[in-house]
Amino acid sequence: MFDKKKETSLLQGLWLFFWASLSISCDNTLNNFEINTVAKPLIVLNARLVARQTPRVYVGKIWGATAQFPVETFYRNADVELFADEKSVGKLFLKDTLYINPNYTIKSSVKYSIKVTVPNIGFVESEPVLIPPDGLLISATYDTKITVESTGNTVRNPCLVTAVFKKLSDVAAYSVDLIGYNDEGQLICGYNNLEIGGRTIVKSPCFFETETPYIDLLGNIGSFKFGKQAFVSKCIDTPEKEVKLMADLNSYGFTVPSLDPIKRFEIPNPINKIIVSVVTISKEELELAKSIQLVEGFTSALSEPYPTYSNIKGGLGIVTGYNVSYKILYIK
Amino acid sequence: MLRIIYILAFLSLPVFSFAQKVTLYGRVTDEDNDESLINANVFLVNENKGVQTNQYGYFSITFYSGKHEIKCSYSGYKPFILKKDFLKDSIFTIALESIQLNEVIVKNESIKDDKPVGFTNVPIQQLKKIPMVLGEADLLKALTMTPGISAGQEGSAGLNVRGSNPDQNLVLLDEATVYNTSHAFGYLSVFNPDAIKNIDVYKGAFPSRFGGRLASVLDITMKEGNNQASRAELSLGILSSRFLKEGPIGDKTSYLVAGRLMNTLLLQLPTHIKTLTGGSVDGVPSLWFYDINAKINHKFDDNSQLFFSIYSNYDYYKNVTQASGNSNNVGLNWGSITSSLRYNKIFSNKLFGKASVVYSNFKYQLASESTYTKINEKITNSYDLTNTIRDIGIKTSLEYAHSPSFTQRIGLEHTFHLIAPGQLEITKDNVKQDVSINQNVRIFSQESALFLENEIAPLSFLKLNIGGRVSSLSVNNTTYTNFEPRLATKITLNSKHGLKFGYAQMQQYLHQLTSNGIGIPNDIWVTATEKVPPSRAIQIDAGYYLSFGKDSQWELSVETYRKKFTQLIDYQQGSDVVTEFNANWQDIIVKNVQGLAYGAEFMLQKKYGKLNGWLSYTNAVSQRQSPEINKGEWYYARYDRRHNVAVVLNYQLTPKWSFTSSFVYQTGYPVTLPEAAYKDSDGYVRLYYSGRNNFRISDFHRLDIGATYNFKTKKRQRDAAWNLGIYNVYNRKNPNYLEIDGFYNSSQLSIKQQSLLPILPYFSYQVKF
Repeated sequence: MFDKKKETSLLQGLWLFFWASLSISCDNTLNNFEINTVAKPLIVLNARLVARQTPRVYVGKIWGATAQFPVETFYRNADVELFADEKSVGKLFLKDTLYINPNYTIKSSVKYSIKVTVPNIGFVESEPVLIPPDGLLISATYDTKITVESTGNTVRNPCLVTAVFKKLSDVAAYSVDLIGYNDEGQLICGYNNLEIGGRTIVKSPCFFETETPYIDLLGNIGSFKFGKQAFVSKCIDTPEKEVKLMADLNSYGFTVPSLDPIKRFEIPNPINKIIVSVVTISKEELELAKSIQLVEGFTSALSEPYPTYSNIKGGLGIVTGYNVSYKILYIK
Repeated sequence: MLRIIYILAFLSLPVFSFAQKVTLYGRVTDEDNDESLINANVFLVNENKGVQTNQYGYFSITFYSGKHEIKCSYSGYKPFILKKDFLKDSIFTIALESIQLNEVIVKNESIKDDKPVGFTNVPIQQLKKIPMVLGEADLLKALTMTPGISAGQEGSAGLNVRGSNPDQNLVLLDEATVYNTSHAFGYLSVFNPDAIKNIDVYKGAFPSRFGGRLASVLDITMKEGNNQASRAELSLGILSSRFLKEGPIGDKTSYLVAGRLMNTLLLQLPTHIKTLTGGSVDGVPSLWFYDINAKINHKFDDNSQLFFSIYSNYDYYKNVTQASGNSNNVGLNWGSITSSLRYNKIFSNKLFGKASVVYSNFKYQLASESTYTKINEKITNSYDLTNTIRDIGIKTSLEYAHSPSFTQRIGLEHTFHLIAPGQLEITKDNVKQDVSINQNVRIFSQESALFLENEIAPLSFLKLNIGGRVSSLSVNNTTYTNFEPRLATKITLNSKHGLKFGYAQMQQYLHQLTSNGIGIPNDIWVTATEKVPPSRAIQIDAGYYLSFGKDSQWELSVETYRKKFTQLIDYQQGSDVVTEFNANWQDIIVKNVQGLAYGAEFMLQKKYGKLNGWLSYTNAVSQRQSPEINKGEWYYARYDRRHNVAVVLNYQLTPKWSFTSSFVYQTGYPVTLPEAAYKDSDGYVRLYYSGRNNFRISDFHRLDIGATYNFKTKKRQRDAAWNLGIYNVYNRKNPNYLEIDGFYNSSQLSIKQQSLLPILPYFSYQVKF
């Protein structure tokens, strides 16, 4: 029924199949996992409302996670309305990529919210956010007659700046910042927060990194995206907080922040003006910073991604409020 | 507590009493090697009553004195018939003759289906035939071809039983708990099929003698060692090899030693030589593992036996990058040692007892070390995370066979656990850091259980297994106590049809914390503590069984189940024990996760004949919910597989040639992926996640085929076999894990699905000495 000859043929056939399989097995490629479309379009609403500044609001689109970025990431046809203490203060109009109202400035100690309608897409509104009161920075002094034992970095021309600010209610954290200028008006960075130092602050209960705006010589808000160290309110147990910052008057200079990438250069003259600023950070900003510092995305293969914080009902993004207090120190 | 004692007392009341009866008791064994046979049927033909042997091959059957025909049968063995005038109690060892290797499996006469609902027992010989990776027979992976059991994903460790987590399976090897069941990141299970005699799987209606897990019990028994003749087996494969040696030591003692070794060294030999000689290499992986089983069995007399078994497995993985004297190594190794010393005693014709001391140790280590040279000094930075769990326990039980209709079991167990959830050592710039940074100190706990189990057949068509288990855990100054009622019923409608129901409550005191990332799993064992309560589950299941065809060679079964979990634990979103090494694990978990799993399982089986095998289909749902995860909304568990299909076919073409094939299909597992991208308030592009496990990875399916050619060696006439086969015949690129490319603010996100095992032919040669 199954003779020797058939058995040999079967064995030969199996071996042939075996070797053919072996040659195919060497070719193994990756498959793409594509998420090119979104199940439901969502409106992104972003605004950082700063006391004494005009409101600037971004109304954005979402797109499939693996899709190509759209040419325009914002909606041109959005109806954007700003509310102060639940009363409308008017509509905002599109200029370039943002919705603005040049005739209105954000006021301190007021709660703001924004409502947005995009035709055929939907409606979103932000949770009300409070702009903290003014007069935050109490004092700022400096001392150049100091010696540096060790701050972790080489300090060529040390200048110890001491800032004292008020602890306010409804403020989640405070970012204390120094911006230096020399005679040429070059913007110069480089300081060390002595309390925080080089400590790892990811997930620290008392400190975190934020990207708050900076203040230029005219008191305007810039958007310099450097991680700044912030003090969390709940860890401040006195009505006033003193912060010591070590600046280097012979620090390196940086190109204008709007140019990307930022380049470092040696400065011809040392710093002779320092702006000391304290920026309030709302609980929304703190939540956002925490969620970003957690594993958002794929930085760790071990952890599940953490969703980015949003205070937009029905949409994505964040609306948050700031107040900024600053003093200029003229270095002699 | 008093109420529980009343219930136990009630359950322990004998419901029948008998007079002028005789008892036949003893063991059922394999004639060739004296191995005891588990779940063999001992049947009283003229009274249409029977019993099954227990886990140790012991039986006791009581009947009216007089002339009787006793039939004993067991799958893969020729039935044994004893006709005798039974006038007094007698002890008897029934030695069954196995069907020869090349014989077609014959029907198993007089086997009564006494399996409870949710119970699976596939003969080891049948499981060994199912083709697996590189031709290595894999008993646990083969079980995933049965309904309700699935592997997490290709390359993931553990089994998922009815939508449960892998840590919710109680895996016992000779009564000792095995915490790690996987070699090589899950590609192979740790049990050497040559050394295993039997696997019983309980997916529901757990007998009360088992406890401590929520999902299933895998009760694995190691072979005892041939006490009739010495023999050896050697199998050589491309990457792995295995051996077995067993035989008698004198008249009363037998032994067994079996081992396996796999090493990928040969695959990349030139690269490894380059690594050893200090050459530049980029990400060279090396992986090897071994496992070894040993058992000694001493028979004092027909009534008492002593067993000592020891089992060890170990996996080592290292990835090396080195160039110009600098190096970066990531290593992962894990291993278990289990051991048990058991004494079995037949006290009387109706009373069987056993006492065991069991030991189990599991260690998992993740280490990373980078070295570089700075001004002629070698600088080393490293971290080393270790998770260990060590148990020592005592288990005792008594089994009393009142009659063929009523058997009682009572037992007491006590286990000491020592758990080190995450011991960390850090070296920074050659300086060993203060390890107190890691707060995961050792935890000592004691787990106890008292159980009572009653197997009762009050009516000819009704069989019950009713019982309860009182368990407790003492940890620090906290004690958790729980009563777990258990019930399994079987209603025989007629010789072809049957209905089964089950109810069980379970409590689990040990958990495995599993990361929810999309990469390599990093799982640690932890215990319930004063902060973390034990998990609980309630399961109800029901089944219908039908035998049909000539000699009832076909069997159809349908089972449904519904399981509710409470107090499960999970990592907080964005947390895991490695990235948060300075936190105590108890502070980075969510404790109040609840779960729901339900489904239906179908199995059509042709049990014997030239062509035999089965088709199974499971439709299942498994979900989880916690106020702290996914905005409080229910989400699919990582172990949710909606559709599972498996087909296993065996064909005996000639006495020498046999063929086997298996096909498996599973719905892709859920995974958390970004649904969309958008710009944030700083102009950065961010990812939007609509919820946990919001996507499913691609479906998994695979066809494997294998052929075996059995023959005798020319010179010494030894039994030998060539095994030849192909894994993943149509080269399906099944997903293993996801790899992310791009997406740093300006570049487009790209998600790549990594497949590891393409079409893989295999062959091995096996010879028996």
